[in-house]
Amino acid sequence: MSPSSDPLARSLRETLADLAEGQTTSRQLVEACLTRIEQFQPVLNAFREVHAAEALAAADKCDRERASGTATGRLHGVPIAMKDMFHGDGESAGCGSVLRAGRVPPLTSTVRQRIDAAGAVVLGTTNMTEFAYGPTGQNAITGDVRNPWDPACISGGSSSGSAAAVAARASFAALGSDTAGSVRTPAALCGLTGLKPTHGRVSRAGAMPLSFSLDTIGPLTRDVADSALLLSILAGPDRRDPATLTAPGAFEDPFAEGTAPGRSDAPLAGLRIGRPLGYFDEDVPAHEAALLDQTAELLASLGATILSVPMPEQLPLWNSAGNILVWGEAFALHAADMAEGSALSPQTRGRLEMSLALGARDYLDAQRGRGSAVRDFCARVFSRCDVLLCPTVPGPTPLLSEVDVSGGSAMMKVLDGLTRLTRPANYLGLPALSLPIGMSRSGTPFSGQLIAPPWCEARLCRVGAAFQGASSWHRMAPPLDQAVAAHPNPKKGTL
Amino acid sequence: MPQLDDSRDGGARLADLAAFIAAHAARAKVPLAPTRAAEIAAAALPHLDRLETLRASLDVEAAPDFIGALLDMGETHGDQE
Repeated sequence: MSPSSDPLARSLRETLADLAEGQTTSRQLVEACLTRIEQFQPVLNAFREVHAAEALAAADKCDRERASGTATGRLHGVPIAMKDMFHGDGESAGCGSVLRAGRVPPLTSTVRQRIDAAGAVVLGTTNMTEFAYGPTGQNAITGDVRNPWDPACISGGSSSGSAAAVAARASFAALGSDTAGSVRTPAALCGLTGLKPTHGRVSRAGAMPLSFSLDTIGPLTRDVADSALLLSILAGPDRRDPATLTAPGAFEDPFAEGTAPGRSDAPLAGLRIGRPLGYFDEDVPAHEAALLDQTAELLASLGATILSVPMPEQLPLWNSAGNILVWGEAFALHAADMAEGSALSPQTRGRLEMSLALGARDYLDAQRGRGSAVRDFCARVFSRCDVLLCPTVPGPTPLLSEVDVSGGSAMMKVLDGLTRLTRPANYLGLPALSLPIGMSRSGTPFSGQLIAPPWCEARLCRVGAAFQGASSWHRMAPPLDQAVAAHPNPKKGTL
Repeated sequence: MPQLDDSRDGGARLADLAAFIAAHAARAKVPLAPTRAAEIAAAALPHLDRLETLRASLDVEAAPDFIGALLDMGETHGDQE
């Protein structure tokens, strides 16, 4: 089936247009997604819960509203999925654990409220790393999420199920969270676009916290324009998350009808793209380095100026400081979960145990260093370029068997390898966009990461959309039928 | 909380950190196998060493000003979006 004739291969925006033009109905879309989920859930384990009856009822309501001319909301009738960490109205998210079962959430998540208000149909909740604490997508409690491109490989995490669901064309988009790369890493490994907004752009109220001062919430989508649309719906001030009250302005959809830039041969004219010298270019295999070179060449052909930009030598220090912040903040939330006999998974326990190495002064100095780090990084990098281009993850997607560790130095080596290039944007609070730029030799997607100054998500989207307008990596779909045959999932989840 | 003595050599610092971890676990009522403290210490020490370097660069009176820095740098390097 060609992409244009398969409704599930369409982007979120294309699907909204199809709905508006009467080419499809919300019920047809939801039914197609549910069929797809049933087909691939046994292998991918992408979903934690599928709310089929509720989704079909919501779809029918959307179709009635559309027929009567009362359709409202910018996502009206389109099916999407939510990471299992956003509390609903009186309904606690599972958070990838059994430890929160039966808990009454203190408040409904703001992002869920905004998604509902926009008229989206929520298919269900997606699987995730326990308490969002890990970048591989493994979960000994709810089962590992597998990569739709190769189920022997990790999906990336912690928004593992969100990435697998969207990549498998079982949902048009999904929400995730990003504390050290948990939107960007699974998006990168599953061939999707993932957007981590500036700290304070999107409210975390009612979302399960992992690390108060590093957590962000962002979309995983098929392309940049879809991420921009979702961010424009999610963003905005919220008194329940004071960090959002400092944002200097709204994020408007840069591709909205009437405001989108016209077609141009040089859509990136006047823009300086930085190629890092140091840190972000270290340990990148030759094949993947060549993909980054090709990306830079394409961006240059679109009018951008490509420049080499030396990286601040403090980046390894800031990366470690970011680790220390997560250790301290996650321990504050989960120390009680580590009691004798707790049902915490061995992986999560192993990560939380790192917190035991910290004293209060260590945590506070890591926090004290952030302001000067942001100023140093921006002064030294963004005085020379407007956007930085680097990998999201340095090399090819690891196999599940390569990362199956639960503690000590071996675990930290795996974690550092997967988050080394994403964690700095969290420590520095910067917006970052991951998007596929080619294929690794292993046959899995390889992704580039664009990083911009604070509050410059629109700039990231401009660059990313120009790249995707001139390339087709984001349109590639995983070969799922072969994957299903080759890789039955021994740790499949139950719905 | 006690701090590590940076004047000690690597092996002694690891032992100090492992002892600190074991004491911290006991105080927090977190069960921890004796061998685990040494593993955690080995994994954590490189990060703590880098933090020590970062700490040395901080102004003695530096207060957390992360949000202010984001606003300033957005104004300086942003698009006035």
